[in-house]
Amino acid sequence: MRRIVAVMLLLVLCCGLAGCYDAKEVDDLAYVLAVGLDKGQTNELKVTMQLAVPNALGGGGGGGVSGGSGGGGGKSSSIITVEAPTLTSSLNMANNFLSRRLELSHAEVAVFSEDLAKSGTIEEYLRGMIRSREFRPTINLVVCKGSAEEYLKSIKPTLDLDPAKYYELTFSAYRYTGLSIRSQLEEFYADMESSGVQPVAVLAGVNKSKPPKGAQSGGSGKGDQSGGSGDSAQGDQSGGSGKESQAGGPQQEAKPEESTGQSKGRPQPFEGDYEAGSIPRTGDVKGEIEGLAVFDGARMVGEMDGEAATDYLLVNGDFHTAYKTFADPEVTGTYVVLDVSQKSKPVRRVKIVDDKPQITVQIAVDADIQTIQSGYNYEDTKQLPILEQAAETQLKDEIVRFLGRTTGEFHSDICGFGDHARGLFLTWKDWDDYHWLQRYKDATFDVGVKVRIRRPGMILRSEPMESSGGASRR
Amino acid sequence: MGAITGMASDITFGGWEAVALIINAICARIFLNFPREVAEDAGTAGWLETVYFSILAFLLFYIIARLYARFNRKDILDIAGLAGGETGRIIGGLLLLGLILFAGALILREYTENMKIISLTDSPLGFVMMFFAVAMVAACFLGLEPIVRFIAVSVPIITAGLLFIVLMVAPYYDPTHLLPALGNGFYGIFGKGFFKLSTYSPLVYLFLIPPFLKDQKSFRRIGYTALGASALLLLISSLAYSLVYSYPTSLENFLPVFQLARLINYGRFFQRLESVFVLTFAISAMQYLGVILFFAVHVFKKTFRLEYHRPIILPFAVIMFSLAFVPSNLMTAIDLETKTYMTFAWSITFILPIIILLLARLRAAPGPLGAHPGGSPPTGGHLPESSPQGASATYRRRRSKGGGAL
Amino acid sequence: MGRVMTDSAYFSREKTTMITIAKIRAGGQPPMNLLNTLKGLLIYKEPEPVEKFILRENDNEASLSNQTDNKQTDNKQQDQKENESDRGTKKLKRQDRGGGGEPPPISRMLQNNLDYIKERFSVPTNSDVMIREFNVIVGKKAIPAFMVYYDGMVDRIVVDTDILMPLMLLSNLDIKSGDARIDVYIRNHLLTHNQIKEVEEFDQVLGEVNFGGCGIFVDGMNTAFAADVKGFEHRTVERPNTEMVIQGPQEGFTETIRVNTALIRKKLKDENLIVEDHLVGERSKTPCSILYIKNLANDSLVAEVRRRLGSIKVDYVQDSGEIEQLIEDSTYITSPQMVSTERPDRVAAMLTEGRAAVIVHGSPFVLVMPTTAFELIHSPEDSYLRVPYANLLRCIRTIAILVALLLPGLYMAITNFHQEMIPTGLLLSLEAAREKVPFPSIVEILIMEVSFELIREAGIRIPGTIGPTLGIIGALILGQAAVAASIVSPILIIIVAVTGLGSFAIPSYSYAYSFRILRFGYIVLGSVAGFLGLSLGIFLQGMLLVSSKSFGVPFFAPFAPRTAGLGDTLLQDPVWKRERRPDYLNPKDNFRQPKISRGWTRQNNGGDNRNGK
Repeated sequence: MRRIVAVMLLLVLCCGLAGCYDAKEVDDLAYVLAVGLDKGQTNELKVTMQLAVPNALGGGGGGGVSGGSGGGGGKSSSIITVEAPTLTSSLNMANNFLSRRLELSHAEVAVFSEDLAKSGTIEEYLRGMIRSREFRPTINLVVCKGSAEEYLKSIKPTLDLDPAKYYELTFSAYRYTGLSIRSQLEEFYADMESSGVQPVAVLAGVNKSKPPKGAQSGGSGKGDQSGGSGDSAQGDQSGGSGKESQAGGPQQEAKPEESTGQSKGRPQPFEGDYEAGSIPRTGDVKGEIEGLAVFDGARMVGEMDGEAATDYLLVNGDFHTAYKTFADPEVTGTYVVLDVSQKSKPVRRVKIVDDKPQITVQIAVDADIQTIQSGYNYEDTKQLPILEQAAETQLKDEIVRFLGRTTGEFHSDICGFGDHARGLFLTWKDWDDYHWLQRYKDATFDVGVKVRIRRPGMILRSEPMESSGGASRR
Repeated sequence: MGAITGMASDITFGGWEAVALIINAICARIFLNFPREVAEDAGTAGWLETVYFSILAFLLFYIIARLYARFNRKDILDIAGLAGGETGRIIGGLLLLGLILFAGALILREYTENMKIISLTDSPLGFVMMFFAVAMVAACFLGLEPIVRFIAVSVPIITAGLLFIVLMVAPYYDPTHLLPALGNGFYGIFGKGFFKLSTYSPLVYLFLIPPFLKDQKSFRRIGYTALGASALLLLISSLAYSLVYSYPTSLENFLPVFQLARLINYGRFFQRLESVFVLTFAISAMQYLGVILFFAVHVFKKTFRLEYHRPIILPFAVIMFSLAFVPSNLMTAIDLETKTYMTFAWSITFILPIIILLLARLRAAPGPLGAHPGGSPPTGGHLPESSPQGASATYRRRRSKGGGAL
Repeated sequence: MGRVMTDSAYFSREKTTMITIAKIRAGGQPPMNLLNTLKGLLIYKEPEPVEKFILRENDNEASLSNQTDNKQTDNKQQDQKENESDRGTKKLKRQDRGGGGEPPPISRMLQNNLDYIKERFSVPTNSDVMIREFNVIVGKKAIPAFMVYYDGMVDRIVVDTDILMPLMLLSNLDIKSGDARIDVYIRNHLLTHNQIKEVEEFDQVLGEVNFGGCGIFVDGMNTAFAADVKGFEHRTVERPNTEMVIQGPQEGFTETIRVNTALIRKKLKDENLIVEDHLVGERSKTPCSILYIKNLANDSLVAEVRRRLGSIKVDYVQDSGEIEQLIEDSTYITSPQMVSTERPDRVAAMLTEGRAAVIVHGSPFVLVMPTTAFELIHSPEDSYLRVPYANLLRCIRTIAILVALLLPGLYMAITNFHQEMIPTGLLLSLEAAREKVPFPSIVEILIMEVSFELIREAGIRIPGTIGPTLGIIGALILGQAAVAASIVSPILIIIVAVTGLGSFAIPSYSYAYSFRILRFGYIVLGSVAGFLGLSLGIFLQGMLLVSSKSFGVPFFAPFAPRTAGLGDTLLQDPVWKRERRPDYLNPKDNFRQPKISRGWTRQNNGGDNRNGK
């Protein structure tokens, strides 16, 4: 017995002497919710960190204490910037003026400025992040048009008290919008190193538009775009001087051609025809995401709009469900909106003919009718194929355009066809010798899209509108 | 079950306990380096390599089990004694001891380092190692019986934890990561893969436990079951790992399964669960280290015919503790394990027993061993003995009623 | 016991791996000084053999195969054990004589007996001893006699009507008998009381008198009559206090041993139920009974209980709690090693599984042994409830145990080491709640845990019904005030309260204690090294649990070691599926009901389940 007691005492003593090296109280730490990286002016990097301010979030102290700030009204986050040579050193430098040790394990998002991404140095920082225990491998990677600092400063959510929640919900919204994508650190990093796929990141930006005087926000349906709301600042132009131009800075003239709809030959832009920062809208939060940033290795080579994001998701089989606007095939000038969902993974095949990749993609989607503006009776089983046909054609065109840009414009296999091409080789060495990524630009595509409309919504049969006939239909 | 039917003073345990012990010992490496190692050898075809060397291990074990059939209730040291007398036993014992201590020290170091990197970044190495050392010594003092019983309970739980991780990362699976099908080519898979046989080197413990086993007939069955279950777990882990991580990146991760666990992400609440992994990881480590220390002490005791094993527990723990500090950094330790240990461990596990068994068979061929198949062997006098017929009959009956405990 | 075992030759080998207190005590160390203490700690001592009991298969099975040496040793061991237990009881008998050397035999001379009795009972100093002298009329003769009893211990009416009246008056009746001998005549014809023993030794009479009987001495007889006329006041059968159930019998044991045995017999109408009496305590002479079912309980188990109970040499034993400590396997593991229950239905049910029970006079708690870690979380109500309900309760109780044991430690580990695990929103509100608390969280949680234990203890000590109320109010007010004063964070109050609830939900009172103690260990470990510390705790506790035994049954059976049938452990089988008795008990009959216990499910045997195969 004495022995047991002695051993116990010894253990307790050991623990006591050793102390609790790693124990950190919850309130001794400052939780970083988002990190932004810009090119620094005095140093390599300008690191922006968004910190959670617990007092405001916790609703101010415990029960009967009077001192606490009245629930929820206060600032929920605070932003600091540090110019530092590396990301890690910036943490050290920040702790010179912050009372609490910075803790990164709750960081939801890492934002890189477009400049940084295009310079290709992003790899240097990613390698640090992936090695760190604190950064989550599931942290969202975002490329921001303009400065990352400005973007983070613009995130002042009003619906959510907690910016972390805002980020989590926003960056998973691609599941029901299809206009952005999932880009997590681990995937991005692996794609960066992979010889069969190139990385992509979510595109973010700070919205510069002010609503045109005439059109109040509310029912901005299809007609409102005529007001030329496609006003937007060129993110990368105003990026350098981000600070003073935040929160609706200098108003610029509306430029409808900012939407990518024009180049696709659409009279009016669809929901996917915008890139982040140029969505015509108002709202408290100025930051927004739409579209994707295309990388070649670690260097950003271009950006694509929301529609490309949809196509990217469809081709990869990551598309969940989203509303998608189609031009009405029978009544021009009106739209049909379908709730599109991808029920099965796309069939992707790669052949190498004459040393050139030939890629086949077969995509099958289901759709429910959401809106038929014209009232044309597409619900009729005889008419339905017309709509399906039109949707297929439009989708196919979009996807072909999207894939064409990846080969022609970016030379970047972001959809990971290389992963499939690997199956053509027996060993890694053979595969490596083929140098897929260099040959991807010569790839040709054979895209097949199948749209099956399954449900009509709450209306089974559309009846045309009756009128006096005094005025013609628009 | 063994203990109930067993003798008052024996350490005895049943088949399931023995199987769990071997599974835990082999599969402890899943948590360390294993999935990354096979990726390093075979590239995208790590799972193929796992299948290959598992089949090899099965074949070798088949040979050993056939040779073993005549030596009931004897462990490899007894048989070495039969084969080479005192010298034979001492040589065999020292070789085994060397293997066990080498593995033990490395594993102690690696577990500690991993723990330090995962969760206790600011603590000194010795402090973290102390937790493992305390567990190991305590386990050893309590004896093999509690260890195996604990393992019998914990192994299913730990396995469930591993499978949970594997299932939860399913959204990240990408079958194309297994392409090209042959990875780094034949040499990578089948050449380098041969040395991965050392993954099964904890099978030595199986050759040391026959005296503790309740049912002698079960030796072979325990071996196959443990090998099969371990092979399955190794396969699952390497497959899951290479499904998630594409090839060049899969070489980078330090703790493969932990990295998988970090990816788990279901909704806003159900994420960042990898710390729970620390629990299963640490418990699996502690019980494995307890087993290692016990067998190191046991082999030493048996080799030099000591009467008690308790007085040498602490010295051996200190030796292991000190050896664990020898590598100056984690990279060296991992190199020692994946390069040095892996190249020789298989020979002690598989070749040494075969040699010993062959020698013993040659020397004892006309001897009395064959005369008493399944009977009480004359040389096992100092070993606890019970009626084989009665015991095994009982065992079988209870086993069958137990309904598929294996 | 140590001595007995030491000289037996077969124990010479390394038998045991336990350091026992007995060893160190018996080690006869030289006078303490620091050096010796240190030496004692560092130097390895040869382990002294300790009797280690392991519950074996039934004896008939063992005897089938006792060909080998070892089996013979085994038998020898058993013989030894039996010898020993015999010796134990003999010794016990000798000691019962107490002070005063060998008593004289009962004399034929009444005066001698009277003098001796007066001396033994210290009459007249001892005022409640009643000695009533009278004459017995036998035939024409008047024979002097006396009886001795304690006032208040006997039932006066019984003494008057059943003993004195027949002896003094009814002996005049015409009795048709040829019995010549006076003792036979008196016993057979005169004493109309139902419980009369004719004894030859004073000690037996004294024992009876001490326990509320009366002794009757008649002139010319060298024997005496001991009549059981107990009539002392005792509590009546009431509801059990600690094991309340909603559904099921509501009787609880009382302090009187015979009432208790009767309560069990009332439930278990089986003549094979044996009640074996022992006296424990040299001075208190507390009657204890070992209960078992003869053709069910493993003989070696019964022998072991008998041996342990018989070997106890203490002065005074009052409660089964003391007996429990005297016969349990290990004092220092925290969990109880036998079930202590005040419900006769529970004892009866466990006896039918092949266990043994010990009833101690003066204690409403009956000990049942052996038990396992899983049975301690069973409530008697479980088997009265329908299976789905019972299993829900079982699950909740398992959660309760985990909560009571681990929650505070987990809280410490997560908040101090693994902040990344907490969802961000929760983390931030945790942080905000802790903002004003000046203590580190380990101090905070210890303050709360200790004050919670204080409230709990005070709640028991406060008399009457206000106790629990005050406890709850105290907890609420204390918690509220502590939060308001920023001494603790509100989240911590929740943690401590939930932990407390968890420990109340554990059915076994002493099992709950064990978790309350260990909880502090987990708090310390969790705050020293986070999950690694918790793992160490779980590992060590698990190792201790699986290594400990309750009367030869591994505490973690049937999981470690695995035995056949996991029937009634974490979850419960339906009543009709419980064919097997727990295998680890090695009962003489493994099956308690046929495969098909509900005969009506088979059409052809129309409800007659005797035909059910």
